[in-house]
Amino acid sequence: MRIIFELLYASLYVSLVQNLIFNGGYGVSEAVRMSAKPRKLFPLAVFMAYFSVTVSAICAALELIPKFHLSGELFHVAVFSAVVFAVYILTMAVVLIIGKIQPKTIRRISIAAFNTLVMAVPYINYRSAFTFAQSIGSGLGAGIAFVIAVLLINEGLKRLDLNTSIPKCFKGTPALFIYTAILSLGFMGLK
Amino acid sequence: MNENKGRKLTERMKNFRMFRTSAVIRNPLLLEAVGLCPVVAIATTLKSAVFLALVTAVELIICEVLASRFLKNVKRYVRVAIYFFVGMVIVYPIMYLVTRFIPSLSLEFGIFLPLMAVNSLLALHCERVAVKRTVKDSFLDAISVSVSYGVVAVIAGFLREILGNGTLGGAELHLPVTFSAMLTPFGGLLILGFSAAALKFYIYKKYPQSSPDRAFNTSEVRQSLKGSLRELMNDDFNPYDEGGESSSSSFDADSLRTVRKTAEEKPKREKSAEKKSKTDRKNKEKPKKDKTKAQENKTVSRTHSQEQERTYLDDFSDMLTDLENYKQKEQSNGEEGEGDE
Repeated sequence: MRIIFELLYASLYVSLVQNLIFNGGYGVSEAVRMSAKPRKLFPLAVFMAYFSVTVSAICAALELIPKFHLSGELFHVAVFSAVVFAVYILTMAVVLIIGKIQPKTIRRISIAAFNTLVMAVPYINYRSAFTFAQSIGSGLGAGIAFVIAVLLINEGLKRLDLNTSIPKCFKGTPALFIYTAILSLGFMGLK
Repeated sequence: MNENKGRKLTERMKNFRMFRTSAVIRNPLLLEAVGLCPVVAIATTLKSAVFLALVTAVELIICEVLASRFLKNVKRYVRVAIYFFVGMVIVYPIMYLVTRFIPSLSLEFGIFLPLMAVNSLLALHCERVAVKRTVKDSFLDAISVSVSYGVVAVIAGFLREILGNGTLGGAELHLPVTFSAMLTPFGGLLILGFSAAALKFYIYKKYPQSSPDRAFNTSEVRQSLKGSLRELMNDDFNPYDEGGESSSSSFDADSLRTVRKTAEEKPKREKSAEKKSKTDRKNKEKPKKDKTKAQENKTVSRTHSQEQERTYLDDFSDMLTDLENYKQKEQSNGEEGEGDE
């Protein structure tokens, strides 16, 4: 019960209270670009959640080894990067073995694996001294945070796109950045 | 001699055009919204912004040149992993040196220093440019993108340091008011928003024929989320428009073939006639009140470029069916003529 509570608490904390995209700026370009293509959101979010959960679970398991836990930050950086790399390679190998791979799936997997959001999760877990359950929760929360961010930005983008009173120079990315900034300010209030 | 001079001049012009497109008209940070994370999160002082610009430039130049030279025949999923690996190989020694000799900068960067290895700008430009062009072109692209990225990062760092900290390069400015929110992602995004607007204003004034809006395609923004799960294994996933130009503007041989197929399968003339009659009816029902409203409608219709393209495709398919009908008629007439003879 305690483990489930820790997991849910961490995922809620990472997705809402300390939304990694709005409060930390992790994966903000992926979120902004994906908000313009909402139909492709869930497939990418599923892969992102998969990578963040898997990577943080492996890294949290490694932290249980006392020698690794006591090693310096540079060593941690190297190991975390190696874990992301290995998980990506293994996933690609499995996908290739299972069946015929399509180009869009490769794109999805590569974008989901190598981005600042997925890479940041093990570092945050390490720095916050999260337990194993909390680490998995934060990995899951990163995926949820991404979905929340994309949905919120997409809703704003729809309205900004239809608004004809916006000056020509502010149409597109300028208005979108300012809107995302205001959202970020709103999420800072939850901190 | 004159020919050589002419060639050099045209090459210079070509290089300048490439620089202009990569750095200004399709500015990666401000108009394409790529590589935002480091600028939004860590370009909070002038020093960190300069450092960020330098590291990004080194990474981009090395990665693009390597990709253009060695990775053209390597599969995409391997290439992406190599970009990450190369990024880590470049960033890791920098991280070591910074931690050892400039600990204050290391503290400022926090976990963002290793995250620079997965900058989306890197993979995008390697995939869009480096693996498709020559080493020289890739190098030029890397330089132009690095310059544009660096300039924006430095401007953001400069403004955020003054407004957020009340300092410049560490020196106190004794400002009466400082806004600490400028040091958060809110401040970074706000400055990027206004910088993007300024850049667009410059582009409209200096290069009125170019369209900076094409860098960030919003034609699919109103698509529903319902079909999103079904799209899990669907085609055409390209969030960064790695093909270069946005897919909506291209009309290649494949699309022509698909149009031909659809023209063969379905007689779309009836459909388009219905569409036309519907739109005519709508137009009759809604009389235009004044010129300004018409202009507004025009701007809205511009955003629905995909829908327009679909109607063009329909019209084109109609033309094809007409052509085929005409051919068939001619053939049948010819056969009848031969029979008469």
